[in-house]
Amino acid sequence: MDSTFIKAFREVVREEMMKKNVVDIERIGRFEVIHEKQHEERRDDGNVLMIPPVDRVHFTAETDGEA
Amino acid sequence: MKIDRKKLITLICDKTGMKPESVEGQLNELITQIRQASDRGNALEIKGFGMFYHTSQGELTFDPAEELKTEINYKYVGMESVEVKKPAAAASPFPSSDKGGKKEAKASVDKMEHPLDNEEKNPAATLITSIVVVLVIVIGIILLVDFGYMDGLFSREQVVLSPPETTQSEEAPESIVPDETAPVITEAEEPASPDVQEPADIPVSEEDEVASAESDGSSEGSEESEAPEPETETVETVVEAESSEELASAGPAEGSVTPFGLYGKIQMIDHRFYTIVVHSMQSESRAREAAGELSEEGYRAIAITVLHDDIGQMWRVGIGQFATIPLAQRAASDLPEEFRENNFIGLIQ
Repeated sequence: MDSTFIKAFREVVREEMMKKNVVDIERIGRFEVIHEKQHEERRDDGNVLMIPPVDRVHFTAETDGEA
Repeated sequence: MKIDRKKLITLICDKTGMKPESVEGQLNELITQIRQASDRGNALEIKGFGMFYHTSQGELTFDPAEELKTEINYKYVGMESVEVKKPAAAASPFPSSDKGGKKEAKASVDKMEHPLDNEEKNPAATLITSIVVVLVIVIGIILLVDFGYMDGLFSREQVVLSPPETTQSEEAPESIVPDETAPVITEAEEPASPDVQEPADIPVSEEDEVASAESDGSSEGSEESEAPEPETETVETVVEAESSEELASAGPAEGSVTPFGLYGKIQMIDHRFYTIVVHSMQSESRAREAAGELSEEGYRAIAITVLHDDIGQMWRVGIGQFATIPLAQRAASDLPEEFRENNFIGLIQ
């Protein structure tokens, strides 16, 4: 593997995820972006915090792949 | 849209100019390395992308690199949690002084209840004091009995305790009754007036926002039961005023000069406010352009710059000015669908 391929692989997967596309790599799994909405969270000390929204990378391993 | 293996190879070819056969071969090699490394209990890291490894349950897992996390979350990067509600005890406008007062009062009561604490440290002094006190009492009783003062004492008490008409008029209970009632009235009024007035002055900026957010936001505001009634009333009055302003500006009221609202023009106000962020972008010109378009649609639109360590300068476009988060949330729920599904409330300081 040359570095050009690795760099391109990284950029393509990232760019497609940012477009909200799901990247499905055979024998590995699916990469996608999950959006978590802004929500309130109550702490043990009674404080209620407004947690900002976040976009997270979510990976689901392919279960049918090679062991 | 789903990017499968074939599409992925095409995209990499487009980006690098490499031949599809070469890209396919290297992709296969990468997949094999990921699986082999994780199968051996090792991890394979692609710098700037993330790490593949197997969990203890044998499941292939991917941990994105911080760089990737930031790039994916670029729209919301730099956002921090906002405290909506403080604990009930801390929500009181006078938490520390009240607690301190209680502690001081308790301490003074303790001292009064144990006046001999210091003397107990000196047993001889305590013994002598006790003997002297007993002697004085005994001598006093003997004198009273011998000289008939006990009878006079009882008769005086009876005069005071039983209120004959002559005693009431002569000894002027008028002077007693006002003396008893006056302090009661004074004590009741004096704390009441500062309680009503002070919160109205204090929470103009921060406390007011928190309190109004609580009372306005769903059912959680009802938990603020420890606050005295006058404070609650004061806060509610403020909220109603804000709400009415909101309602007044619910439609695209051009020329509106209210400090808060969804429509109209952004008002420059001294204290912080909340806005509904509907766009995040890195280009200032695009942000200003988007804000301009929203402004033409009648919204109070604002472009805000955010500086982030990884991404650098970012721009966010918000619509509306709101005193509290619940008011902003309520307005956000009534936005057109394009904004309703993808927005967040930001704090402008």
